[in-house]
Amino acid sequence: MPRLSSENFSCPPPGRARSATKIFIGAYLLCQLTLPLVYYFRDDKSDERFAWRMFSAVYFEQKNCGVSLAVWRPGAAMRVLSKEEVEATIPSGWTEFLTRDYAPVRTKFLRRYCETHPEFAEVQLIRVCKATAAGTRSTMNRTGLICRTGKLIRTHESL
Amino acid sequence: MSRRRRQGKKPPRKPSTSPDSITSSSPWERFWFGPVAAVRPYLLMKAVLLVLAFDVWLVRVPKGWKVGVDGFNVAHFQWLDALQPLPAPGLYVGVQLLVGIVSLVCAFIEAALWLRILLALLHTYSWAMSLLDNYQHHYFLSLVLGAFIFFPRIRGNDLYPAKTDQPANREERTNAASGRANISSWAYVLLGATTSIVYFFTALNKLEPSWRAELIIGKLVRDQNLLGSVESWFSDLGVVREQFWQWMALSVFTVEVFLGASYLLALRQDGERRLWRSVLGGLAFVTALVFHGIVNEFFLALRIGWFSYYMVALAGIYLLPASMLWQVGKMVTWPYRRVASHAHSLLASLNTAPKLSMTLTVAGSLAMIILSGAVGLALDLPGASNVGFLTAFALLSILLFALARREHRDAVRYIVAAGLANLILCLALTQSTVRFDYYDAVGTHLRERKNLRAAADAAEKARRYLPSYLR
Repeated sequence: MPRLSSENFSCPPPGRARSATKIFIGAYLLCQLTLPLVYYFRDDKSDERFAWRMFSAVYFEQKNCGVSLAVWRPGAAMRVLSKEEVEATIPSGWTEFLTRDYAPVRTKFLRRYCETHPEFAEVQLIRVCKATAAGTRSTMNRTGLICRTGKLIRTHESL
Repeated sequence: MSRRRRQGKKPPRKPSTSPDSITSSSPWERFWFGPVAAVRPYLLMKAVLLVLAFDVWLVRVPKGWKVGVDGFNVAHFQWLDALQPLPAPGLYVGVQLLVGIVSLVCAFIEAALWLRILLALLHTYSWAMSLLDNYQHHYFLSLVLGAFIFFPRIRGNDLYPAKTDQPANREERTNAASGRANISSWAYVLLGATTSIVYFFTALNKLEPSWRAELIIGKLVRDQNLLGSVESWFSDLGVVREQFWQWMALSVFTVEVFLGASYLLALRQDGERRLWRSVLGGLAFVTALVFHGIVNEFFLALRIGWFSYYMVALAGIYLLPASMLWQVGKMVTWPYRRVASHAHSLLASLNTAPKLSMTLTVAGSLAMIILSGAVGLALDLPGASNVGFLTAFALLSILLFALARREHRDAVRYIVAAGLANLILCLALTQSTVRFDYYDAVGTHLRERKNLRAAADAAEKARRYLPSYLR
């Protein structure tokens, strides 16, 4: 019967094996430190994955946001969809990600909308966030997709 | 090919360095390769794998109906989106069921490297396939399972040898006599360091102005109607409201920094036994228990899955003194060791009748394989039948391979463990509200989408699967 002798330690013997293990440990730690740090240096603060920011300020601010959808037919005026229409349009479970302004979800959703609604020339996702504290202002982000060219237009304004 | 290999025997493992010899190395090497009480990695694997199995079955499966529904999905990584087809509830639920089964098998037996790698990959894919599964601790668990790949393979009987088994050499005799074997496990240390990093970054987040200005902590606590009386009590003492909430935010920051530092310090506690380390470890464990187990889970009801349970288990194993864990380990491994000992005696007696032994092995294995397939079919969840077939096929392959090699003992361990895991899966899902919750949510979604006939079918299934004790 195998026992706890020197044969089943997971300590590599000195030499190449140990050096390789040390290099692996160093690289792994570097990744674990850099991955969350990257978040603090990038512009897009909406995506907090892998940054260990549980219950962050961003998360709570995003809870005060809502999304709506506007569409254009060629040669016609913009039409903002009703709340019911928006609920029926956004796939189940994904509203949260659109209100949190996740770029990959936003882009994929708009592209899919253009594909499934070829009658529209442009579709725009409008995200409004209410002010959360005194001295701050409500904000509005618009992300539009021109269906024909696939060009994304993004604007941000304080209300 | 060597003669030993031709004879089908494994070559002896190259002896590696004992943790005691590491003491002469550099501080960096002493930190990563120094002694760790063998019971720590052993208990950690068992605890996490057991909790994980029930976590994926009871908590994640009911949410699987959303994945890929309405023909839309975004994976956690763009390259994965490019590689995978549109995931469906069947894929998500199936992978979760499989993760639970493999997790239990790894918990029951001293699992081989390939199975640990499979578990880490399966679990990572289980959340990475869709952003809808976006709990940060699922990513953390992937790191934990990744570390498990490099954990030493330890059996309960290695830690607590039966009195009748006389240790072969001096080192083993010393270990058995003291009952306190130390090993070297850099992966265990690395996981502790990773946990520490997680705490430090979580604390960093609490330094932001919104946290200090009571916006977040105040919201978290007020939503649960907590601390109102404490706030007014402090107010009577002349502490202004803002000051009170700043203290609260600071206390969260302090706890997280303290826990992060404690993990780092505790990693050396088996190499350098000091009273202050044991006291600090005990204090840190109580802090973790209160912070995760009581405040987060019960007072604030943060609804973060089973994250708190994992963190309490991790804290207990990393922070408590080894002497305490040896006792805990002795108690929790006792049933397993008894069963293993009986099985060992039974196999030994059967060895005297090889034909009977082989017949019984094959018959028992086939029964377990059929059971695994039947459980998948009986569960009536998307993907479950595929998992049943897949498990049965994998087990049958293992059996046939073992029979061809005329070495079936290892295969039997896997087959019995998988059969047992499937039995537990069946009990967990039929005796809980998992299937009810799943079909109830499907029904609600279909009603919202005006698909009334399908909604009625789902509602009927939900009614059928409501456990009898809730009717």
